[in-house]
Amino acid sequence: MTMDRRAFLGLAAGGAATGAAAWAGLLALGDDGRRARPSGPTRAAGPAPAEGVDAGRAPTFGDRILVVVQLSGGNDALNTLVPTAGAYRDARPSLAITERGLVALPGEDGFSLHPALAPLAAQWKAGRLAALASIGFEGAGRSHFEATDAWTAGAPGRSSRSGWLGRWLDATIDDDPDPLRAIAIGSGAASALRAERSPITAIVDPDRFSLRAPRGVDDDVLAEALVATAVSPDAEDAAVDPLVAAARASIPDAVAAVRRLAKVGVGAEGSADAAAKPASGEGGTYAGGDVTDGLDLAAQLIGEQLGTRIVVVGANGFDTHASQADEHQRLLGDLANGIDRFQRTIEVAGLADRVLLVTTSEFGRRVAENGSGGTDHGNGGVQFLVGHGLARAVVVGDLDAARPDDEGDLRPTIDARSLYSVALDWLGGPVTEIVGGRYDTYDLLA
Amino acid sequence: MNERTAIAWLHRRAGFGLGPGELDAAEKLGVEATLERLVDPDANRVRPAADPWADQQFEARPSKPQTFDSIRRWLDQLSTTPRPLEAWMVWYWHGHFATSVTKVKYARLMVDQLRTFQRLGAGRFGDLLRAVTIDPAMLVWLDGKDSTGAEPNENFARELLELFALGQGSFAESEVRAGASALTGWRVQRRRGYETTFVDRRHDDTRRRYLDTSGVHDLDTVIGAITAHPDCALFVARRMATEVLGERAVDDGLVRDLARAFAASDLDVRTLMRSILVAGLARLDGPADQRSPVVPGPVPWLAAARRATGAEPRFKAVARLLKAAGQVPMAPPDVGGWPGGQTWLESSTVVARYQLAGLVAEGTSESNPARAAAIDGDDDRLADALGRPEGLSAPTRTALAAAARAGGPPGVARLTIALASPELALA
Repeated sequence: MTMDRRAFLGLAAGGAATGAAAWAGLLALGDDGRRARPSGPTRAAGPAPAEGVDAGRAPTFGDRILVVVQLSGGNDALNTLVPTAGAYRDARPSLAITERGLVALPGEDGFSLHPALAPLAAQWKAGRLAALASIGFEGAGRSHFEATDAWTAGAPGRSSRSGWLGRWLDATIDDDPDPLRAIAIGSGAASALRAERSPITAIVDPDRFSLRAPRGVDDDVLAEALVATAVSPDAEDAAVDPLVAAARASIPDAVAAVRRLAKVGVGAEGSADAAAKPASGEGGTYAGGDVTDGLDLAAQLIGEQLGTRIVVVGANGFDTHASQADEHQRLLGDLANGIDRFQRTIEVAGLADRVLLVTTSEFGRRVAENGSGGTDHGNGGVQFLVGHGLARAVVVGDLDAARPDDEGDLRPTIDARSLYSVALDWLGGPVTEIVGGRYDTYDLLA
Repeated sequence: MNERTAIAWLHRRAGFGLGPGELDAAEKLGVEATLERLVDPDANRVRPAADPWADQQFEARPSKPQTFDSIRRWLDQLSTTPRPLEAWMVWYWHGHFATSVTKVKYARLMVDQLRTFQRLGAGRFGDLLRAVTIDPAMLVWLDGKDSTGAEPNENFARELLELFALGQGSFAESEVRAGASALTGWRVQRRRGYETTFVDRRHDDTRRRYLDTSGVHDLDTVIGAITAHPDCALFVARRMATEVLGERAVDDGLVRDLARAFAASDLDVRTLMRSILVAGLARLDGPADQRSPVVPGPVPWLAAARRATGAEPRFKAVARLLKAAGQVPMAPPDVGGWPGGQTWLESSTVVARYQLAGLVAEGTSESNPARAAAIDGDDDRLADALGRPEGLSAPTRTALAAAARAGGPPGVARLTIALASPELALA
């Protein structure tokens, strides 16, 4: 089994050698790009600038971690990062957040935070919160699926087989790819990680991420038999259907991931307390991810230092067409609490310098409220970045409710690929190739 | 392709597999008769399927146990129905018009929507679309109940065009708004027992141009304009053919042919389904690139496993594992339904499916043909009993031999591995 080697690679030098061969090949670098030197958050050893990689320098895709919180449904920008200007209030007679409850951002006159985001104020004061306002894709459609496809692929109007993070995984893959390099938590979280060659791990319910065999049957022997079903018979190799090949490949990757996570207590086989957790479909909440639960697990996994470089947490429910006020408050509360707990956990673990968290959402919502106490699909949204690696607390861009486009939506003045460029700069990698061009990164990283 | 293999294919793609003895019985009838029994059970005097919720008592208020009970009954029906294609159609439309109890709350409304799929799902698509548009669960799910002439809500009007009937690129933003206005006035209220009512003063009756049709102003004119649109037949045909035949097996030429026959039948879904299955059967003997496996979701996979084994695993455990696998009936992640395809090969699903396979195997009686074959170590009989008369791959047969060393009750380990094998993960 190669797991020991994988574990070793993940731990040794924070995986600094991981992916070196493919990476060097991709960028036509010499073998000297392979040096396994430790990288840190300092500027000298930090990631390459937005222009991509300076070929004279060893790429530092060593040990930094990116966490993406995906807010599916289209989070309402204006009631998240609330503009001071009056046009916002005029457009939202019933939904505008009253001045009293707003959370001020010291030094920032143009915006305040929704009251439920109060836990983020401390991050702002510490210089560890940035926001990109009116971010999106120019000329994007108002369809969830079209917009989600664009955000997933990192390109508008293109339904790509690979996601933007999947392309990073492929660009930095090594010859023994580790399925724990990228972990998707919750529903829909895996799509941005979809890669041509790199395996990933998807976890919906950590308490059931185990290989428990029927009563009386030996767990390990049966799991080995499961892996044996997936061995590709040599004779068929060339002619085998790609879906058959994918079905086979899925099994050993999943088994390897379960076994390594079991060692750190995730999916502990037959864990009794799991029974206390309600299954979904009972009503009340969405079947999919929840930010706080997802980030709790993310913090645990990152703390175990398994060589994980990317965690995507999926959360549903942001499609607030009706009766938005209470629901949005709950959603934002979950987001802020989750981020706050996550930051505190990784700070205690001494890992905060290595982690950047960003949010994504397929679009913002219409400037004007609708008649159902909600908001319809819009365009420009707001996304947050949180982490010790940020240069400063800042809001970049504007949410200009006074000058919406023809549909009544915020114009996306910041391209979504700017956010992706910052995130990939953080990881270190061929940013320009992955996002398909150079986008302003607004000097967000220190 | 021999008849037994073709019949098993039909029951995998247009049903939930085969129970003990069913493959033998169908083989005696032949492929064509089997297809007709599936597609048109009334004409072939197949006994009707019982309504699984007929004796469920719905309380006045929504409750979780009630929702669970409704889901349990539905799962039981999928693996026992004498009319597999009708049940398949209900499941298919549930994914197409994906509505979730997480917002609808009240299981009775979900059940009523499923009954509508049962009643109209194999008939004219226009009738189905009309019924869904004013279905109480849908009016709650996509906010139609709050949409008024003064303040139309676009949520349903957009998905109606994009996801339910025409597809991306076949309409303009202005048509979303025109559709939303024309569909205002429909209400669902608790005090009216959650029955759909039409409130004239909440309705905007302005006549507008919509999808190349003028004078569109209400439910019937909206549905009429959509079903008259040439993209409607193409969209519905492509989506259903992809589900049945697999993505790679569906090309533009096939979709055009299917859509032509579908449109000529006044969008009769039974006609479309028959054409899709006939095309699929013809391709079983054709070149490999005209065939494609499909990856069934955890629910249809489980239904087929239960049908073959007769197992009735404890529902609570099943529900948790289906959630972990990513597919809880009545709770699709959003209005787009379950993404399907390769997402069912993600590790969360692989791991949960393996545990479900174990639950099914240990719940299978020793007299069941699949369990008996597992006990005897007869891989060919085991494959046949699981609806794979063509047999299992060499690696899976090697794995079955290894599983026999895992101990436990006779045949359980082998049956678990067969059910969790990559072959069975595909249909």
